[in-house]
Amino acid sequence: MHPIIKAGVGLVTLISLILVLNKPIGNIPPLGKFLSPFTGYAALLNSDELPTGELNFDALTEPVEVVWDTLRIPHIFANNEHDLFFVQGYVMAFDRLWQMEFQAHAAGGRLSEIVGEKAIGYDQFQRRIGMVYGAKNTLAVLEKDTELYPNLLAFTAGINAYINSLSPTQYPLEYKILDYSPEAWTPLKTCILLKSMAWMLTGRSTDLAYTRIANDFGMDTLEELFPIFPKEYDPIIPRNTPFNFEPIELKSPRNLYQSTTDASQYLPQPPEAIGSNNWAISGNRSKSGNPILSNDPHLGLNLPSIWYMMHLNCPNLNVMGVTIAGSPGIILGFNDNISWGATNGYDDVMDWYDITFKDSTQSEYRYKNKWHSTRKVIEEIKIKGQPTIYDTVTYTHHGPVVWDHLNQTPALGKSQVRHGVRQTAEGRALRWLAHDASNELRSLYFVNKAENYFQFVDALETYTCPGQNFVYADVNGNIAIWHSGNQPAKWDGQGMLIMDGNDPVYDWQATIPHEQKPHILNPKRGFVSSANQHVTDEDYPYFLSSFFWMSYRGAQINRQLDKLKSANVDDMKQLQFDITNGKARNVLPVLLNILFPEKLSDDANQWLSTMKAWDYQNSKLSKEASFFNTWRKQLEYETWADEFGHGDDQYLWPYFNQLDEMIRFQPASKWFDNTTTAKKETLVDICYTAFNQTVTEINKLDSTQMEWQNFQGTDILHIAKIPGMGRVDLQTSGGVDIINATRLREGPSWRLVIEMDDNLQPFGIYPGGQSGYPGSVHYDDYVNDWVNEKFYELPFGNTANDIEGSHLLYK
Amino acid sequence: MIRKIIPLAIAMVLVNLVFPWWGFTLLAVSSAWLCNSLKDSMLISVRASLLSWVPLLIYIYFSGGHILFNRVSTMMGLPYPFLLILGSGILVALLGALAGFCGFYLKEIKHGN
Repeated sequence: MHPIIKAGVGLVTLISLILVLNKPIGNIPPLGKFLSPFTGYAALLNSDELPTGELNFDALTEPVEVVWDTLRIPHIFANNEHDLFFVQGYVMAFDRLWQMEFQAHAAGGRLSEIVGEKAIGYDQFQRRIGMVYGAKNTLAVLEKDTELYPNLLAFTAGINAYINSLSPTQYPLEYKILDYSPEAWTPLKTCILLKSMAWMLTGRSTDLAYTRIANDFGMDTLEELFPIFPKEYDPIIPRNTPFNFEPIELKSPRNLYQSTTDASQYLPQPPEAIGSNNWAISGNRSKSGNPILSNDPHLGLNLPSIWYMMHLNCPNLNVMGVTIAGSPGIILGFNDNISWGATNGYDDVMDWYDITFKDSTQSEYRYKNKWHSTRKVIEEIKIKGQPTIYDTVTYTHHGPVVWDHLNQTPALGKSQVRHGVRQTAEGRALRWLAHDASNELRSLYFVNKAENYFQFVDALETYTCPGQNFVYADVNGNIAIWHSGNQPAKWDGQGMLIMDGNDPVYDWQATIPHEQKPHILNPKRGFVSSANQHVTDEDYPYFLSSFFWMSYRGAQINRQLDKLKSANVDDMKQLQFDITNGKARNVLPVLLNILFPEKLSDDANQWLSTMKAWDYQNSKLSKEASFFNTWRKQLEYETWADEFGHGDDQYLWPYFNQLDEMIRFQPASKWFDNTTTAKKETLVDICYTAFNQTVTEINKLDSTQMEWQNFQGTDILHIAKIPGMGRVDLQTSGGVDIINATRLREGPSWRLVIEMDDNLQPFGIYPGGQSGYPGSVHYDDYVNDWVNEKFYELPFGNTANDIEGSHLLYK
Repeated sequence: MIRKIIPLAIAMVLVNLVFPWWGFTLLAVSSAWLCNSLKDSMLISVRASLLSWVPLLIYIYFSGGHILFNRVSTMMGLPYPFLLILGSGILVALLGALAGFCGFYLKEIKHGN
């Protein structure tokens, strides 16, 4: 063969191979770039190493000192707010750039730009629920906020200063794996991240599920099985607390509108364990006489962690705590005078309206029996390696029409189905409080600066969404809880079902005035607490939501706090790790009494004895917890599956507290009957069936697998689910509806306990690490201590010299 | 041969500090001008290419990169990090061999053989 041909063939092969190795294939990173020690992952060695000495920035007006303590928490000391927020942005990007950018991309419906066509459905959904629409509305408000916007711009400039300092070889690992580059940060991205948080915390919309049940089983069934106020609940604002105000008058419909449901669309739901605990005890319940505050928000657990710890100091501001990567200031924490924490409020601020269009162009829709123009927004969805696609979203005054034809977002798929909730092919608009022009950053900014209760309450006035139960304690001895958020004032049951988009009586008519929001200051009982349960009793004049979490956690917190007469910080920490299974404590005495040993096999009798001796603690080694969990699920299946289906076509099943009440108080309930058999079953039949099935299931496991720490366990996965970048098979205790609400993928995402002495004693931890670089020891160095139920004492002070650590000067 | 390989490997490292990741293949192609046979050309460029990547990867691994290597190897479905280094070596050797092959026949064309 002639050398020209040989050289030609060789060159074509070489160049082709280089081209192939230069691009990702499927989930495989671009191997050439990625494996090269000069450009790939290995080039990131020590990229988490803290800079030393001095860094110079033109943007800074005065020197800023940053101290990195042994926990790798940055303590930023500046002489003015501009410099403080600039360095906050820079430092945050240094540790978490990829995370904040990726989350902003994902929330804004731009994931296809990074991962290609597999994310089109997801992106389309994010666009159609109006995530960016809401963020732009908030940004418009922020731009007019002369106090806050300059800080947000400085924060943005700090992030961009870090991005601009990087060469491509220094891009964080995930950019190299997914083969893309960071782009400039913008204030809009911060707003998008905050809206994404709002979706996570308010997106548990039950309207579609309830409507489907009301249509197919009747309103009576809905009211019986999903009561707005169950028989047993322990509200955040103690029962019989008077509400001394004149409520806003609201018009309500004479006959409730009935929507049709059930076609072929799905509403993805946030995980079920999104909840939290917080409480504060007053000085007369603490050993030292100082209030003590505790907070542990339960969220999806990921690496890098959702939270980032920081200490920010400048004249008139000295605050420490956690914030989400990409958001300025501190979201949960403390300053010299006050501390605060939050649990999700679960207000119903997401409603759905049936829309009638004049014709298929969707240019006009009916409202007040007249035709009104719609607004069309063309969404441009860029896709990696493929042509851009466009999606037209129709907006009404209610909000965006999320679905307007079948299979609108097919890529969501069945894995996203919860409770068989489906959408119709007709237009249906989403009214979501997070769409409103709001200024949560302003609230947080003034909370960060608040020196006393009144300033704290004033700061919460502009807080809109997601509604939170803010717990409060201060050095003056006050404790309080405020149910905050710009909740709509609703007539009873408004928004529980899909509503009529034509009739204005279904619109949100007003907002609950700030002073009328549920709150309590220094109650006689000496403590305040919340755990996502009902906010008030039935005397509160506004309808807040048809869904709150069952009171198991809340009641146990209150029970334990009530016992404490001379508590200290350790008692508060201990209470966060309480693993009492309230469900088991309620129903097991009844269920175990039903079972007669002579009717059970030897294996079953062994388990009967074991369960009778159980102390209801979901401890790591407990086999009883695994057994009860299986038995409970089996009981639910035996009770509800015959009427409400199971699997893909399942209706929303009633929550466990309903079954709990039926077991204890209505053993003859018709719902225990299995409608698929001729026999009329009772609780006794179901109890035996479920127990025997559980024995069979559990006995398939070996002794180690039966232990709760292995049976449930916890996995903290990487945000983008990249294998190898998470921590799996963590042996944890606790569980859903337990104070220590650690589950497989969710759990206490931040723990804070602080005594409000003049000399503050803050303790905190979260399941992750400060660095977002997977090669760093600080990527997950808190995880083992979090699993082992430890807290860190958080260094805090007023000057850089108060903090021990590595000092760095920014000039 | 060692006298040719080491300078070539050093040159490859320097080129890689400036050029994209495939920059070393340019030098691997030109290495043919240091050799008289196809076998030598390919051997030199393979060995120099390996030398420009693998010792550095090993150094990085033992200089605190083990956590990163462990995570990346898990991501790529490899049970041990050394397999990641081995895989990188195979890849760079393959490219080096191809470049040496091309270089040798380009030299042949230039010399009119």
